[in-house]
Amino acid sequence: MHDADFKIVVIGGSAGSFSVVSNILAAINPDFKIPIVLSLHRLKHVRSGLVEGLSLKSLIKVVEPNDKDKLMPNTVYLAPANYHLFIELDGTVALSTEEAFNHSRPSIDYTLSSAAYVYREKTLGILLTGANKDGAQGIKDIADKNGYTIVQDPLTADIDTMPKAALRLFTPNEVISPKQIVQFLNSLPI
Amino acid sequence: MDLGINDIKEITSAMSEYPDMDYSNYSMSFLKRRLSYAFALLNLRRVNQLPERLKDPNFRDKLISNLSVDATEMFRDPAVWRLIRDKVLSDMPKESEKIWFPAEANGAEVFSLSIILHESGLTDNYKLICQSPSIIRCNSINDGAISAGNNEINQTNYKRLENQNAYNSYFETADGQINLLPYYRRNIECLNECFLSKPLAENSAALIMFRNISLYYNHKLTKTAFRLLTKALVKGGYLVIGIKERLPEDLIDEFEVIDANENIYRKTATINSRNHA
Repeated sequence: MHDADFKIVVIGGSAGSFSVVSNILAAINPDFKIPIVLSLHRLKHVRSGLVEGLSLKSLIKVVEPNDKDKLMPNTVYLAPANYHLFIELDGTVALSTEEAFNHSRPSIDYTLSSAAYVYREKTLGILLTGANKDGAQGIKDIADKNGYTIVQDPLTADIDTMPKAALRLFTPNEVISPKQIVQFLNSLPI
Repeated sequence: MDLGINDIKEITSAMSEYPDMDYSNYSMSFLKRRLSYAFALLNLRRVNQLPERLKDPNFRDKLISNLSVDATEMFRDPAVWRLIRDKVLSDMPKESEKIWFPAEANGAEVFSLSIILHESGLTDNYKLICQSPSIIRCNSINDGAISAGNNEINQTNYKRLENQNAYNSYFETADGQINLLPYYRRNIECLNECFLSKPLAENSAALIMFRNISLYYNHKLTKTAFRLLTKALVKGGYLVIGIKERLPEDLIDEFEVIDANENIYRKTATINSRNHA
């Protein structure tokens, strides 16, 4: 159970997650208020295309934030290529060029853990398909702070390394399909 | 080590007793992870051990060095370097020969520019002045050392610039260490200083490279830093910041935007004039 008063939704994913995220954003309630932060593994030298691709179908505005941008309602934030994305205590975005973590920059663990630290039980964490264990510890950190955690059912994942790595670490609140993730999000009070 | 807010305040307070070690205006998320990272490398297990260890100048230098974030690879964001090569260098103000790297971490930025200057035949027209509060970092930059781990990505980025030379022709490798050849760093000097306490004189820099450095500052320090940089630039001088950084709002009018995607700015000829081209 959850208290349904989330302040942030953080979503992590790697290989295969682009289409899952795209489908989620295409079916989400256009009035969905809670800021959504996406930390997706992507090619470090390809700066453009991903926001544009997601924006094609998304019912909510998708942006790649600048450093120190304030997270606003009804907006999706995508971690930029070749930067880590953290969330500050004042609800702003903090980008970083620090070392790759789990061979990844952006690192999903970093984004998810920083959300857990700032928003604690008001955090909704979602981990999708992926070919890397990055994200598993981050979503566990959300669970450890009593946030609500959803892991994509490995049976529905293109590559199940990432969700399976998370399931080895802890038991999330939900292990569900992308379709059920959309239903869950749309069941939240606006 | 999992550091809480009170730990971080205690740490920055102890550090700020020493010159050029005031980190109290760095962002909280940065301090939380970077201090943990540095403490692990320096084998510091408890916060209350810090004041004693700080008395050792070698420890202080290692701490500053470990807190300093590498600008990652050379020629990061090749489009920025292409614009510098094709647009900025041909329009540099004539009254200054100084190119300033106020907080150079690992040489990636200054070595990239040095190679571009060489390929443009402009090396001896400019002095590349770097500053770093860490002696370790400064020595490494003055030696032309680059991180071997970044060699592959450096090379890939370089190729994206569509340059004619071979990337490897600029470097020598010995015992696994890669260094920029002395010939290509003859105009580079790294000073062991913090630019916040010892900025370049007013109206003295033709170009300032300040990419991905204010990411780790809070709003207050960001404003302070950019004000110093703006003062140090000559009129018509260029400022290059990270592609995901923004100029503080109160300084926007001092610059014209040369490229909005790559965040290249030029200090307007008349300060505070809103009528510039």
